[in-house]
Amino acid sequence: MRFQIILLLVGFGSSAVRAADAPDPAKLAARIDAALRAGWDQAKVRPTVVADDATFLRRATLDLVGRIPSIAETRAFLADKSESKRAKLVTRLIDSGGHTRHMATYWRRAWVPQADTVEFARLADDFETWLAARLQENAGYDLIVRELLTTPVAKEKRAAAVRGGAVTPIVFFSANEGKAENLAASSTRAFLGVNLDCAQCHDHPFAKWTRDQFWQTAAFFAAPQMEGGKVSLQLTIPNTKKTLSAELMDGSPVKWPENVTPEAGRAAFAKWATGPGNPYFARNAVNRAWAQAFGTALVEPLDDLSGESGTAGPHADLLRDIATAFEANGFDLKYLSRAMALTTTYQLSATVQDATPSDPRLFARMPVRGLTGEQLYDSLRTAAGLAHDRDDAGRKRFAAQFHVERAVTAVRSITQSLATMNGRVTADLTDPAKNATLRGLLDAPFLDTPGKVEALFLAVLGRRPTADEIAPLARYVEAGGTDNDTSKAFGDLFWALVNTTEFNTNH
Amino acid sequence: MADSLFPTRRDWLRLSAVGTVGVSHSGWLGALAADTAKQPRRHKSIILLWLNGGPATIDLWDLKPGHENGGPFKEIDTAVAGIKISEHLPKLAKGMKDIAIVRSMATKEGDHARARLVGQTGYTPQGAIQFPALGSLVAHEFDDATADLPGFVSVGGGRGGSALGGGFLGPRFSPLIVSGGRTRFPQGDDEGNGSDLRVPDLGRAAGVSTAAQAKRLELLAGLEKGFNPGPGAPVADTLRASVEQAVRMMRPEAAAAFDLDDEKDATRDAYGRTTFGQGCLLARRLVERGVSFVEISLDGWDTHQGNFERVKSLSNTLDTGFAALLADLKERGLLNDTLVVCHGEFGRTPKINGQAGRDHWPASWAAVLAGGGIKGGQVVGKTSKDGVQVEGDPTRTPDLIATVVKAVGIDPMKQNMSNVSRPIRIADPAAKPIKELL
Repeated sequence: MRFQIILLLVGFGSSAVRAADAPDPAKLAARIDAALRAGWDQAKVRPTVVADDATFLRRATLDLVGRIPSIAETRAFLADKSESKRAKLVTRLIDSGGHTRHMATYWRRAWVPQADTVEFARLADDFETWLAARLQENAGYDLIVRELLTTPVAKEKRAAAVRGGAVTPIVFFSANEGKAENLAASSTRAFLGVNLDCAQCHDHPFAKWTRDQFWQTAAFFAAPQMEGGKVSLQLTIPNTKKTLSAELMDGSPVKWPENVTPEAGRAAFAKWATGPGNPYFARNAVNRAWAQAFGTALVEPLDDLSGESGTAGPHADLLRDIATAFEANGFDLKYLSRAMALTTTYQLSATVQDATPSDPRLFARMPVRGLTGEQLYDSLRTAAGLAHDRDDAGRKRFAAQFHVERAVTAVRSITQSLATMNGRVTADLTDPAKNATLRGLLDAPFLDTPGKVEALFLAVLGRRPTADEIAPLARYVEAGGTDNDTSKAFGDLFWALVNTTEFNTNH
Repeated sequence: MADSLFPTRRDWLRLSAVGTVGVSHSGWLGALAADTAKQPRRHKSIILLWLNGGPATIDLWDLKPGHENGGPFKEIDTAVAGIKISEHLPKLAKGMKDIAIVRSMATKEGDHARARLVGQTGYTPQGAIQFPALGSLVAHEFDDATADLPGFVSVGGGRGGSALGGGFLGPRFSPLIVSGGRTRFPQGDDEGNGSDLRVPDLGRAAGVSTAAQAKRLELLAGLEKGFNPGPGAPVADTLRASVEQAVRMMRPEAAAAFDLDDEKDATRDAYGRTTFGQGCLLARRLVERGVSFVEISLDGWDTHQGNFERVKSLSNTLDTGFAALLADLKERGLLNDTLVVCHGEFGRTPKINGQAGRDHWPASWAAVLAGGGIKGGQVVGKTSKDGVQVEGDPTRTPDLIATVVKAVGIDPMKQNMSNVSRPIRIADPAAKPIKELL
């Protein structure tokens, strides 16, 4: 059995390489820093200082496991005096189960954004469970995408898989209504960073892709037929008499299998898309991973890798370099995440002193980013000292209510702000009976009031309060707030802390 | 300096970005409350009466008496000679001078979800482009970051419409949902009474006193001073702005906009004691306070069976609320600045089915507009004797949307950058505003 699995991996190519020699992400990190530093020098821009430990811990924990650090994690990290503690932290976070779940949500959203609706909630869950399992095994990114693209969609095969207890990435197909044209547009955007949408209806004057190419790509997602002993995949452009056969976007030939299977077209497309030397596949993965870690992607917009910014933009070479390393290392996502988190660039402060901040595309400052609904929910629970149950229905509702498109351009609506101030989730957490952090503080005989205020700051904001902050707050709590009730006063303080911009952003 | 955590007057002025005078003693919340003067109206507003499910406009605005498709309803005369509408819309018939009927609506989508999407955005779904709802587009055009109330309010949320938000314009332009406490609008004869219309989470959480809430906001304002990433942090800036706007809305003076008990009983009765009627009254209160776009949804129009009974009852609800709204707006001198639009996602089959029902029919239906400076007292376009097709030039959804925005002074061809980095016009480039109305 084991032997078979290895054969399968070898058969698919790249994914088995990794185990042989462990690559050093620090080397890639150094190359990234050098490339960006050259840009700063050229633009005569000074980067911000390296963020302090508390800020780094909070940022890395939010980015890598999707929540703020617990009070215990913060205390331990601040107390650790070793030189290599940031690198150790990055490794620990990336190797945790929280990382795979968090990344599963990230990639699912990047690949199937349409599934963020109630209609697809259950299937989106299945998708994330499927993906988390693959990420947990550290399967190569190429293997994961091939598996996704070639998932059986026929009812009987799906039913068999479900009976076998398997979860599948089927939502990719359902959210695209199973239509060849939707699947083609989504696949090229999600996995190649190429936007074919405009070409669906017409040849765009400025874009590279023609309408014929769109429908030739879409034909890979059509139902295959056997014609004259050969596989035939064809589509007719709607409202025209033009019928086109499946052709790869770069014109390279397709080797069709002898026997047609329902997945034949998708398998051929997947083989080309994820295969060695595809000009977009690795770059798209890196660009999207970069956007998650740094807010802005190396190439913007994310789906313009075939356009001007993707081929000749200021970071086109850097993206190519990272993508080459990623591909050479078996499309190992953990390697990629570690390399990015180990850069000095990733550790830069979000705070600028100058009146005119540098262009965000230079990455000379960490941008202030919004939190996804999941990050916010899990962080609220962490602040309150509660376990986060990912199957919690409340979490899903909350995540949907606080959905953000891109963290770097996240915007809060009034309805959302009303909910964080007066909504049930917050109301529950300000009640010491439902908040382990508050309960622990109130019962802690060994802490004086300033010590308790400090502990609350560590739990919620992941930092110690300043002297200016601690004194009036301690007095407020000691005076019992407005109701002469210390426990309520602590609830008030917790309420205020979780409503701050500091808590509600990643910085 | 020990108390520097608590905000000074200057702090909250800076934080709230509300230049105002007269600071009350009760902190942030109270201080903001000083700014209660009604903002002068600087723009027109739109009220969309959304007839969810697809109304049988052949039984409302474009009857076919004498034809077998006509059904049992009779036509009645209106205040405008030559224009006739359903006998079950007598109040609107009296107000016909302000109303225009477009009988040439012809669209393509016959599925509720898709038709709703097209009807409310003016665009057919295309790939990953997240088209904003018309309300979001209008709120974006008339954006006023210092206003007490959001630009787009949707009454009767949760009917699937809540998923339609700011799209690529972002959540700042998504509707503030005033829910009826139900997931769907009641069907048929149970049309609610409007007593449960409320803004979720607008009030304080249970067990939090006014004083405690004020103190919490003071603590918050103080803590905000501890985080300042400097310029060029739009995520932090807009988050703060959103909290401040929410706080402004929580002030009793602003929240009062949603308090219908403020109205005389006679007024409330005139609008009809239904959730729809009271929603219309709420819409008037909101546009009075400068809200750019209010959408009120009346559900139950998906009449595959028992069409005539249901349409009769719904007509009564619609007639009462709609007519009262027009009369009230007129009396207050607001009608010229407030465009009221009434339609659903499509019409219904002229042919009556075996269960005395009508099915989905996008090919020929009617929309109604009133106020907002459009030319009322007229009918635009016509359908065939059997109601099956539009005779003459059809009106498409983008044409209707272009007309609506143009009527309130927005250029339908203005572009916004979309989430796929492609500029998208407010109305589809092919749209032609209905010239008879403008």
